[in-house]
Amino acid sequence: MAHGHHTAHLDPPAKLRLPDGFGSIAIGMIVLGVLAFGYGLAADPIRAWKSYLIGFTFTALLGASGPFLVAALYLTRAGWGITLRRIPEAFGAWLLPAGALGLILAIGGAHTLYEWTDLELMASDPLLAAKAPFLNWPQMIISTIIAFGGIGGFAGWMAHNSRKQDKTGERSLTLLNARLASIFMIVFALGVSLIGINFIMSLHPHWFSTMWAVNIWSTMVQAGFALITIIALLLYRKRMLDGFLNENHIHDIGKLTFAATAFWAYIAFCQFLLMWYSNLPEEFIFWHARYIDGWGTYTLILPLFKFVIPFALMLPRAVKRGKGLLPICVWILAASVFEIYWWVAPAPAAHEHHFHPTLPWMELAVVIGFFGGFMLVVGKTLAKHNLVPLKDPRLNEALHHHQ
Amino acid sequence: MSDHATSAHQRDSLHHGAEHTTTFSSQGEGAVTGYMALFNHPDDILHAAEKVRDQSFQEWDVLTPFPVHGMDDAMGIGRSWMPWVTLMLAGAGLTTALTLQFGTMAFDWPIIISGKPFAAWPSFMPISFELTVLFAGVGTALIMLLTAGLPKLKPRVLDARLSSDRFAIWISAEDDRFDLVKTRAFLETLHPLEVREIRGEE
Repeated sequence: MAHGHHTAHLDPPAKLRLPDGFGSIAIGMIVLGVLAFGYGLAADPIRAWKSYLIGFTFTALLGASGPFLVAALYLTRAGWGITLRRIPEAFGAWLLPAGALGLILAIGGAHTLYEWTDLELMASDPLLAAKAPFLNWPQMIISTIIAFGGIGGFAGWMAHNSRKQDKTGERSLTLLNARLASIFMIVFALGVSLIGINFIMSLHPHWFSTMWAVNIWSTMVQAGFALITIIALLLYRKRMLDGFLNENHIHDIGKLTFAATAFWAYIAFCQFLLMWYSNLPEEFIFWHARYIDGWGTYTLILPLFKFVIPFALMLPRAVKRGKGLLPICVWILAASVFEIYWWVAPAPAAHEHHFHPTLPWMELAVVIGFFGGFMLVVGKTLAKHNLVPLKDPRLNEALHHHQ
Repeated sequence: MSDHATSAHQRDSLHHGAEHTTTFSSQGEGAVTGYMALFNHPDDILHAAEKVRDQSFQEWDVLTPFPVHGMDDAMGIGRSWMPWVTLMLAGAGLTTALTLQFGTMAFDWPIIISGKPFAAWPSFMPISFELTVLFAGVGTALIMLLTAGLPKLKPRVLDARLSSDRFAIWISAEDDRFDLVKTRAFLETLHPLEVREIRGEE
């Protein structure tokens, strides 16, 4: 353990050198996604835009999960996470590109995906007419700009202060970031709710759920913490953070991933149970669409993939400390893509109400494309700055971190 | 934190200086049941515990007023078997809940409730979850207390300051490696404030 160590005795870690071919692989992934999407637009626009929506949602949630953890660390004055904070900080860099990609969807794909963009239908349906003051196209555009601008802006501001502290060492920057984090949390909660309601929930414009924002948040933290764990594990195993990151840090982020897995099950089942029990059409419509047309099996598999398997595998302490943790976290990421697919694929589109499961090659290719973009932006950001906030006033606490 | 590390470092160098003396005293009556070495800082007790561990004593313990981080490793304590107890109890709770609900609702006394099937498993989940947690939580706490020998109505108080600002290493005379002369000499090499000989049973 680092007992006798002082900060001054440790050499700062070298800047991250991305592995050879990282950029080419990421660009290859983007090209694959663009090709699949382009082909889809010509052959089957609904499917193409649904694939786009899956990839967009997956990476946007990942992007927002990082700044959320950063803000939570500042607000709780946590010391343990300082040495791995640069990873979630880098995630925030994806938010502005994600916002642009969301605008492309809102402008180009909304009329294909969302039946509420049909103004005649909205006027003729009393329920939709009542929702029209919110559920309309200008609102979607403005909300997307505000949500991504707000979350991304505050995330960028906090990251900027954190990096500035590397040079100046001003303690006041930590206090400033704690204040920004408290505002960020409100912006984040409202922004994520808006994104979740506009892009996913409104696929079923008649649907009511007061749990949706929490559901989308729980999916976000589970996937986001899993990815942070993966990157932290890779840096730890490549010995890039020697002296800064040890098994106890992995244990803590592993425990968070484990907790998020249990939390997702709690929230997702909560939402299902109450809707199943009360059996009201405006609530059950979401579940009915995922019960008919061959989606029932997918609905039953979902809790197995997202909760039972990762939860059981992550129970032992040794796993949360890194033994076999990497494949489980990759599994959680894949299961999160599966969940978003399950949100989007069975949902009605603007002029069509029934979709059957197919081999999801196009969906997968587009998600890979989006993830390639995410990798490129986040990887470059991570490589550009110091891997550890070297002059954070709580750094020493993280260096001496015990379980 | 850096202030803290520096002061610990300075204290260490003080302890290795020539001025340091360890006092010796005796407490209680009867045969020697063990030695207690007293320290006044958690870092000191942590380092001392590492050295006792490396001497492979078996019948020894560390007494601190609050949990000291890293003490498990310093004492060489392995993993507890308690998680297995929790897992078993969780399984027992889940089984009890499912048996109770499916048994009564689907077999023993089937009643139609709000148009749901008799074996309406989603509505059984909250109770299954609660009983799993209840069995695991309460059961673990109880078994932990029992195996720790608690509650103990009249514990022997070796030193009242062990619950405020003193830290002690206790080596029992029952340890195979215990030796009146050598163990005392060994404890003195740890530079405690005091080595105390404890006599008599509780």
